[in-house]
Amino acid sequence: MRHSTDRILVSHAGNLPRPVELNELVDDGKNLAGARTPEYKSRLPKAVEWIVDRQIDLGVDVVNDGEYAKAGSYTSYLMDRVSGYSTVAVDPSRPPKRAGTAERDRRDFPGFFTSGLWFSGSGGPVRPGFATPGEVRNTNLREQRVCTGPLTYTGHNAVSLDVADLKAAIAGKDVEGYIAALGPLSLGAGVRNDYYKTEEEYMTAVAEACREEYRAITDAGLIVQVDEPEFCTSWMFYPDWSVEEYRKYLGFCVEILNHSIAGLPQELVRFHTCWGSGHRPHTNDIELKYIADLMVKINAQQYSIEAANVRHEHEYHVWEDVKLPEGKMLMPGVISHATDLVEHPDLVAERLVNYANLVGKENVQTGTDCGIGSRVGHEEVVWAKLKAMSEGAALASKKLWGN
Amino acid sequence: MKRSENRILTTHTGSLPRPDDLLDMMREKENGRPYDREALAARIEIAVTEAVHRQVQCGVDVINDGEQSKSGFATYQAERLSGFEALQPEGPPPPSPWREVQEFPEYYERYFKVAMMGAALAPAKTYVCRGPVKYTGQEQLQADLENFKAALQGQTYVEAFVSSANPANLANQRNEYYKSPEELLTALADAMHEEYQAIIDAGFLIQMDDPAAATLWQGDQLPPDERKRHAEARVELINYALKGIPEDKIRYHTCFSINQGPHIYDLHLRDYIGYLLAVNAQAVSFEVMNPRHMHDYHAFESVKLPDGKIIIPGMVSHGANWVEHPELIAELTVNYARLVGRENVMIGNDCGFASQAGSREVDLRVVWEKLKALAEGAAIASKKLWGS
Repeated sequence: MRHSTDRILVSHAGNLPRPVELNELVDDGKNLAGARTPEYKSRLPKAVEWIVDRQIDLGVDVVNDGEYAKAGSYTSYLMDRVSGYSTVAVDPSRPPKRAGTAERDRRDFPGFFTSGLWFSGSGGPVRPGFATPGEVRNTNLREQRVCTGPLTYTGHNAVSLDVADLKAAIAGKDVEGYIAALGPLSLGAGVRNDYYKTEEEYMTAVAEACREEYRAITDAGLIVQVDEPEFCTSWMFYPDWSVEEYRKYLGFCVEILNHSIAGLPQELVRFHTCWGSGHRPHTNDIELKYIADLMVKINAQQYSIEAANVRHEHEYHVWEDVKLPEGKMLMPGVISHATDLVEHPDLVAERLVNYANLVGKENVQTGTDCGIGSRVGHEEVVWAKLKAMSEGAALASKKLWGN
Repeated sequence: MKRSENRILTTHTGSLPRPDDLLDMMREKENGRPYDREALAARIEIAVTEAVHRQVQCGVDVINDGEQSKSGFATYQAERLSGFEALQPEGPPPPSPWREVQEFPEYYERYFKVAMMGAALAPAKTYVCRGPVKYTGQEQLQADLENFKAALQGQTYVEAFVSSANPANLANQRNEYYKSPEELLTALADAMHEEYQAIIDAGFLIQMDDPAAATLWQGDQLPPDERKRHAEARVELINYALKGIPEDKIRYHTCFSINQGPHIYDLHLRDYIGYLLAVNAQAVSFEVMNPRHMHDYHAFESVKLPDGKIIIPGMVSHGANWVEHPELIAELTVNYARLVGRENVMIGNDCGFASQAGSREVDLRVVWEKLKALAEGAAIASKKLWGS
């Protein structure tokens, strides 16, 4: 993983808009089952090459495959690559394992959550900045996934195709490649365990299954981005916990995460977390100051974290008190997925300089708050945001290196 | 006009969301359908009281009636002036003046269809001026002022303001009566003066909205010399329209409209603030709490704030359901205060939360939470700035 040795390097946190050739097969995101067809898969190599070149054109240094192979199924793509889970009817007599998305906010803003507007920025049809909620996605409340057998990673073929497509697309180009993969908490923590004796044993198995996916990526010399929004958002799933209780849980999470990346080259591991993607009040988000010291115990070389919005913008100050360990890198979000306004390059630069002054310019890369591909109002806006990001990085580099 | 003597004062730009049942009644009225006048008036009275109490509860210092009686920040004006006739819309609506629409065509196609049009209570009207323009809104204005006064009874607040439309709002409508646009504007200014005077006589400040100022009145694309001439001419007209109103009674607001799209062509504050400060208003309010303008405070590194003026940067956005963190509000407030002097800074919001009555970009509950965050942010900033 390159450090920003003579300028701020540019990357982002994940999914990107699909080209027409793929989009027509999934009906603009309305029919994600289309992404499981052989036709979709056969079009992937060309599509990945296209998005890699698009990123390079827009000034991105550490590029990905646009997450096309996952086609918007943020968690279920990895479910499909692990055996041991079954889909069963919800048993109404058993309480849910934990509360739902954004539960603390939901309690404070019930009307807002009923309106459907909170889905905006979460992907799907509800767009940021749009006054009317639009069609709200259906949630299957009758069925759920449950762990009913030993967890085994079965996705070797699938991930090898992901790896091959990206390797081919970046071959001979002056960029690094990364592939995002779901974190163990986000894969398993919300799912009921009816097989392993204890939650700890279950989550250990989840971590080991995930590791197979991660290893396939790092074995190919690519960076794996472990996507773990639940590092922050679990605070919402347990709405009555105190900060102390939450920190205790995160201690366990760090162990699980470290187990999932055990033995992998640290310089090929990027950790990503965020506060969920919804356009919602976020007044109850766990503040970074309570969890940053635990996050840096995760054995990744780089931490990608949401920072480009009005709830978390000021949190660069956290790094006045928390020391980023030697050799590690920070990838603050300087572009948000939750607004269609395109960040001003001057503001992007100012944000980056704030971080550079605290953790060292060579340890800062640009990031986005979360994947922006499916979440802003239109792909036209995505391209403009990526461009603003690389322009901002250039401005920051000029200020920081004087070149 | 009160200023931030020993702490940062908070305010907002004017409109607050109307309750659902009030909107239902207003929709009937705006569409020319029969409605119960008395029931509407009674509902407005209650809504004003609720809006005032809410602002006080949230810790806002300089408050208003939430524009509860108005269909929109500018549209209400035509109801209160003679000389204008509403035209039936003919043909497609005129193309948007926003340059971004060319750059992001598919985005805006969807945006106009799904987002912006959701906010209007009735289809947008265009007007033609066919007779002398006179102020005829005495009755509605009196009702507004009385409702507001009654709602303020027993409440603790620092000062109160009433929003009133800018004379220039209607100056671009078709004119078949006056000889020139200037003559129409003069007539508009003279007519609206009655409203301004009544507001001041009732003991309130005037908040005047002028979204066009942030584009230098559509002059932002002109070459520098022409742009300067164009903007100076507009400021002269505005000041003509404001003649006779004491400067210390006026707060003048601009913003980048309710467009929540990409905004890549917006001017920086430093490009337009000079003209805004040349308007004869003691306080100027502008939009900065979004990722296109959050860094705009740097403007005051090169622009000197004239003596006596007050700035009201927006510290909560009208277009996002995220609640701004009080620490962030405090940090930005301090940035402004260090550049222009703490006593010259008040903080507000970027634009009305419901500049069109039906607008709901921000949920009602979220609005109150934002106003609370504003007050908390002001308190943190005050502590940093006064050490109290």
